[in-house]
Amino acid sequence: VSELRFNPLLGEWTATATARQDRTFLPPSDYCPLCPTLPGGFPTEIPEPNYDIVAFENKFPSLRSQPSIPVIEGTDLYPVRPSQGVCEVVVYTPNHSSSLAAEPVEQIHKLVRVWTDRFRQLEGLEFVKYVFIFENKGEAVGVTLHHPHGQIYAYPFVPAYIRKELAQAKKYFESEGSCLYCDVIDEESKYVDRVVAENESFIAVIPFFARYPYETHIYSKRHVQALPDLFTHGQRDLAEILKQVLAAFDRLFDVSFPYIMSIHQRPSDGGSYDYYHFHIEFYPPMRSPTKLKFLAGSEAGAGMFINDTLPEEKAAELRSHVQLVTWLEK
Amino acid sequence: MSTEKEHEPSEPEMNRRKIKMEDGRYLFFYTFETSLAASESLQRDNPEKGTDE
Repeated sequence: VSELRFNPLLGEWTATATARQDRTFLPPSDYCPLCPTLPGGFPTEIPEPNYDIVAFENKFPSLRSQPSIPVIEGTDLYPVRPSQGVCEVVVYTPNHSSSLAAEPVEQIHKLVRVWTDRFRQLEGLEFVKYVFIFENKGEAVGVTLHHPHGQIYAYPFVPAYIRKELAQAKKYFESEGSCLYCDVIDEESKYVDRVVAENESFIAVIPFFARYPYETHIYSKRHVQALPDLFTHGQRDLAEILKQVLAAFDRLFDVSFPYIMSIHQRPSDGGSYDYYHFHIEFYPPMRSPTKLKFLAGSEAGAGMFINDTLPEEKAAELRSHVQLVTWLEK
Repeated sequence: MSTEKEHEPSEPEMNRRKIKMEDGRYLFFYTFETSLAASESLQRDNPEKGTDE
């Protein structure tokens, strides 16, 4: 059973996808479905070993290009629609025990190019209105497979969180005549204390308004709306700052740091979003080596986050773990 | 706001190959011309455009 049900209380869609209850859950590494199939071995999702990166349709999707008919009929109050869309898995490397942070910057650069290609392909589908690239890393954020991978959801609508960002950016542009994100970058650059890393094309900060202790945002310094707007140099700079931030995360507590990585781009619905600004947000759940930040009453029930830390102090901590990145392949 | 560098470095060619799995789902293999995976791959495809089998 898979369908989209409208929530009139919040004005947003919820996907019901009951088949996902049966998805593979933390299998032993010998039976990892994201490792390449070896001769005579367990048949995995990836039938060949020779690749750098693989993208494929999720076996347990919440959205499908050819969805089934909803099992329940909608009403005026409760609209229902087929769960049309695409859910892809992007396997970052054939190496099961690696992570994006542990991969060389060259591999992250390849991933940036693959993300760009997947974005272009998926936004070309008639029913796709928003392409969302993300990664859930670590059991603390609900990961069910440890092999390094991310996901892409191509939605048939612009999701609620993005709509909220778009509305804020549009309102600001109309009142101030400038891009909200460009002004945030200016403010953070001048203040300096919340900057984690920086290069010619990107800046990473724990922003003034961070909701999680180590919530880190990576903003494009150039006013662009999506990955295809980046030039070759921008793609390399994005790979470099991703490597710096991810490696710094792992050095913080000397663990493979869990996070949600959320890539925010303009919608793909044919509209004009010149006022919007491409960026990446990380929501790490750890607030100390032994404690997690949970979304509790105020966060989950009322929408007000309580950050137990100061972004300025956490940025200094994270910044102290940032190291220079060396490219082996020029 | 800043501008990108005028002289862009050349990048290794990206190849995309699409296969259809037994259950009807599609899968894309990405290889890059400088990588071991690309040199071992039997099939080469157009950069960025890719091919669909």
